[in-house]
Amino acid sequence: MDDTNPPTIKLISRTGDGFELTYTAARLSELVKDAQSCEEDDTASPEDVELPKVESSCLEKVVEFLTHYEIEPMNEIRTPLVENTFEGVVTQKWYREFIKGLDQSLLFDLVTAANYMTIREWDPPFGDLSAIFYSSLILPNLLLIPSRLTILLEPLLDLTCLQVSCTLMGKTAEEIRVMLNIPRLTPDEEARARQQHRWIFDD
Amino acid sequence: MDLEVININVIDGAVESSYSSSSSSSSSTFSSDAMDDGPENNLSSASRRNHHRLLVPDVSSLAPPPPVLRRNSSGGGNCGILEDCGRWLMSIPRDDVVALQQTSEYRDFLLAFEGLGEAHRRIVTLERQQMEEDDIVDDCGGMDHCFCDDVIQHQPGSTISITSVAAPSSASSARLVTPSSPRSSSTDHHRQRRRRPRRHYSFLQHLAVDDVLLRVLDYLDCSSLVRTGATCHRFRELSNRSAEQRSHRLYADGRLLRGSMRMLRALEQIDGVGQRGGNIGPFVPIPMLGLGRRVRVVGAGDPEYDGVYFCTGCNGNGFLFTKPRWPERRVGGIAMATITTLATRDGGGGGGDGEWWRDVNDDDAEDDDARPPWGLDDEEPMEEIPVVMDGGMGAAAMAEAIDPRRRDDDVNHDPDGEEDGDAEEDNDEEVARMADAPFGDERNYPSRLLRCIIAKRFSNETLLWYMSKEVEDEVTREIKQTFSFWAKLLVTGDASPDVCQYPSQTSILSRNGEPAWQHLTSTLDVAPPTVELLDG
Repeated sequence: MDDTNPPTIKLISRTGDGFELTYTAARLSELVKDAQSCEEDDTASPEDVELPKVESSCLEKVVEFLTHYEIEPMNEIRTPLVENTFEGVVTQKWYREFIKGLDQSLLFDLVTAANYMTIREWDPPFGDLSAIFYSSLILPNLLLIPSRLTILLEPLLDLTCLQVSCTLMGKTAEEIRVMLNIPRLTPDEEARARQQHRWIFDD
Repeated sequence: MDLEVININVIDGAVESSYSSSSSSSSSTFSSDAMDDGPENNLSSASRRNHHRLLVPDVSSLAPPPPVLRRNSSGGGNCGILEDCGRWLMSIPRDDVVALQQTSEYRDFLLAFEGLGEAHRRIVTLERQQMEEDDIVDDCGGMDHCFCDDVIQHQPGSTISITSVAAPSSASSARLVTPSSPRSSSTDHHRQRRRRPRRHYSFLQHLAVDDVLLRVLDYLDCSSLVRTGATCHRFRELSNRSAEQRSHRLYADGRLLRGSMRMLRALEQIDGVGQRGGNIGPFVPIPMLGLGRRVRVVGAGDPEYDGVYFCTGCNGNGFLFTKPRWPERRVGGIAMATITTLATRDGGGGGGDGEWWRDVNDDDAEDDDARPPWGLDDEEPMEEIPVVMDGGMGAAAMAEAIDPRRRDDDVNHDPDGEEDGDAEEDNDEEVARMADAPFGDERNYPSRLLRCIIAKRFSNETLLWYMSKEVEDEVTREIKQTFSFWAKLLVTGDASPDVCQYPSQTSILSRNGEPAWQHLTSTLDVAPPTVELLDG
């Protein structure tokens, strides 16, 4: 593979618009990766992938995200959240700006697209595994906590879901209903919900 | 309402189904009495002897009749009907699920259900396109644009309709027919909807799958989660599920027990009953309920210590009160974090199989509660508890023992003994560190927050309160505690026994003319905090 001209791939939206990006960036999407018919072969050019469920406006943003992620990976969003604001949790400016200004419709589209395209990354383990093994031998009565060797990150889904969550935070049930156009609970259900969590609603 | 009668015949072990259509009353009836009506029911006498009717019980006697589709122009009403339909389906007895799944009607049902989903998504997509074209009313082939209306894709050849509706008006689609002229009423309806805000669908309710919604809910704090759950039925269930998943580690740590049987066994252990002879019986961890009052720390020279502490666990000396360090600091190493546990010790008096405690009569395959006991009796001190306080200590000796410099040496001594090589002191420190090993406290799972801790520790023979913070070694990723302040214990007489369980309060210590919280040698230039109880 020529490092100066990395292979590119075109993602085609529902309406037929094509968006080009490097194959390395596109491979963050499991859907794109699985759509390749050949085995992992650096010499073969990747095949364009049609995404009939993704709108052009949404796919454009997804490609923008993937392209930037290859340059600057997004920090993992860890729970529990310490901050209640989007800006407080997402410290990387580009990703803040990426989400800011998106209307609700496009934001929801992005959530759907991120889930549909399964954009994820495997995060390798921190540190040196040999140090773990060594330390477990020399220290008596220690139980080495079995830990995940990798972390599965879904950055775009996390980012968009976080933004959706932040819009819900601090709102009353009625405000959430209006915002999301949700039909009301039946009076019995609503009364039951309020009674069950009275300690919240009394505040 | 027209209903279908399903006849399911089992012939020589294979399930065949015959289908007959009949108009009936509003009650739903599934029976095999109409077997003779079906033209498919052409069986030889031998087959007849072998086959038997799969008597599907009369649903009407066991489940309420299916919800009636209301013919109204309001989109919101039919959403509840869809939920009611779902509940009705769930209420159908499932005695013969296996046989039912092998019927062609079941497969047709699944296909029809998927078709309904596709139709719904198509409608929503069309609606959104309409919205993007500035709400231009376009019939689009006569489709009704309200997403809540039932648009059923009647598949040619299918023998089951999902819901019973009036006869389809076209070969390709069926819809609810309003009493008035459909076109004029739909036009009026569209005009009304044009005046309404452009939010004709709810993404979170109708498009997102549960996993996505759970992810959104996972970021919400408890208050917001409750309010979101109070919006609709689906959100309520998902909110509860999210809360359960997120609080799972409280169950896994043994603070709470799943199931009444475990609770009963825990109670038996507390009361010392339920044991027969030498057989100690299965053990479960005793659910630990922390002390309820909050501890407030203010005025510390190190502002990280200021804040509200909660009782989150206990060690071998008493309760732990913790709060996360601020600014946020988390355990970074995924596989590096280690804690000292006593899990490798044999329980039950040190005999034989070290894992006998796993013999807990439990139905769950994954037994979160079957953890090794810390001792036969939870009141029994652990073996590695450091030097027990000598009861004959006089005041002078006490004053000598309470030496900040000595205190500092005790608590900040390198547990591995690499600095001075004193094996005995190393052992004491190591043992003391093990005594601080959390019991039911936070485990070092990846990304957990590092904490400030108020807990009791022995200093030589003296039990004192210490304030410390967790620090993660960047190289070894081991979590250690660095100690900053200490205080004497309260005794009964200074305050009530309940209050004495909590960290010593500055107001009480000062009342007796004694110094309150004090610094250590290593923190001489750091002002000690003021500690008080809340929720009194």
